[in-house]
Amino acid sequence: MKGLHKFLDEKIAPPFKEGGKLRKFWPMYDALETFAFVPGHTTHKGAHVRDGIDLKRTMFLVIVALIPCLLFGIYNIGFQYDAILTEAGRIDWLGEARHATWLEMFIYGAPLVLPMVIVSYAVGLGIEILFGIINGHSINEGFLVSGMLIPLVMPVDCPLWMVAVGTAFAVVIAKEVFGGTGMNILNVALTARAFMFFAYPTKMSGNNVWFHTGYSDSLAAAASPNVIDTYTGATPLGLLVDTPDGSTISSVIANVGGGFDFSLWNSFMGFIPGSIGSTSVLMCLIGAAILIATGIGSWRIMAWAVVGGALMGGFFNYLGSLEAFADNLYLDIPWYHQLCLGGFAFGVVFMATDPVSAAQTTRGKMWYGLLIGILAILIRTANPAYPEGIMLAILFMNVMAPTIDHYVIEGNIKKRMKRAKLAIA
Amino acid sequence: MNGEERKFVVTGQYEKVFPFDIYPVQLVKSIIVNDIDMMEKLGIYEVAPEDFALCEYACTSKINVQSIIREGLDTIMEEFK
Repeated sequence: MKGLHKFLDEKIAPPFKEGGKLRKFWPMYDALETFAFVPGHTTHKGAHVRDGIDLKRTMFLVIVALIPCLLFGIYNIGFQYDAILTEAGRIDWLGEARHATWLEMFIYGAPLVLPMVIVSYAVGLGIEILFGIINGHSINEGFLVSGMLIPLVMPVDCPLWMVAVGTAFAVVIAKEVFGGTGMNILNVALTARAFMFFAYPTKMSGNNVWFHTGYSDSLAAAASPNVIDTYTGATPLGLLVDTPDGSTISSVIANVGGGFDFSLWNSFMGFIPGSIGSTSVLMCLIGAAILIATGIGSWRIMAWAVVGGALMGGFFNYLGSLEAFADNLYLDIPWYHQLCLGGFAFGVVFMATDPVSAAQTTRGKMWYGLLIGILAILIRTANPAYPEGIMLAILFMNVMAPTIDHYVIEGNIKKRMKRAKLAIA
Repeated sequence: MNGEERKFVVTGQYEKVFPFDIYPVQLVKSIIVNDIDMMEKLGIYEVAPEDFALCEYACTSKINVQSIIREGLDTIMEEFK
């Protein structure tokens, strides 16, 4: 490692340094070098001992927390494909009459997800470096996390160019126009998803996008010869939009058919169709544990969002038991099942806790989290046109967060003014 | 220094190590943008740069908080001249 560092310093770095030919591109070099090595800066003033954590490490720990979700997401794609085959009555993975093993499911999903991750990183970091060069500042690491989050909230069938367009839109409009990392009002990854949700609705919602139905090109076709042309299947939340009159929640869940099963246990473990990384509550919990143990994610936001979601779910369960609302099946989903469906857990753990776009004051975080939970379930239940309520709830609360902070701070100012007056009197 | 200077990103760190009933991040931000009214309201008269030494130690973004507070106090001094 020392040798490499010396090589970088002596052979590669000079043209990028002060007075060098490629001075303009210093931010790019700097970002890549400090990714591998601790930067050589020393303190000039103030406290001369500094904590070991910096923004790169912070962001990297979030990526570590995301890895379980990513791995499970890859696996789940293969799992859903196997389930489709089962439902079609064709238990013939690799031409043999058997189900796929978990490793085969994983291998099936990897070539679908990894290109999305690569595209998202390439486009996003490219834009960040471009802005770094134009503005002459070193590159902030915010995109390390966003770049991983974006593919994880996409449906598997999303074309790569859409990932690129969504990422570019989110980085430029949600982040760079506000001044880059640390200044954005909205969560970058969610902006990408919201943009694509409204711009390309046929690819982001509905019944066709949650499954990958086999590779069509010849190379990959050898691996999975059974291409099913189209397959229509909804996410559990989408499924409830059109159900015959008189059906109940348990009958809907029981009649999904085939290899599918939206029971509470499967929703918790994540064996359900949905966005790539956000189906498994268990994996989100592992991620949450990592974030909370390292002190990077705010446990307050997570906990209060779950409380909010549970309260709202419980309230709707009560409404659902009344005669007047008998035909809205969303009301009948038990509140604990609500919390396990869709992207609720993923959103609460990884999106809502984004420190830049969340409320910043301790008391503000409580309200922020609580309202996210309430709104997510409210949107999901009251307006089934948007089954993914958590996305809109978090974006809305991102916008509201400065207002919450404002009132918390005003409250603090008033309290202290009172105390100051007492002291004078 | 264990890292390079960055913009404010992580929240709740300053509050954890800051003893007073004051919002340190907001105070520092008001000084950066030179908002004297806000500095006064957020309690700049009650602090000294050294009060922020722990914040500076803990800061993920490696911001030199103490010298920002010093600047803020100097600005206030100028006002009274």
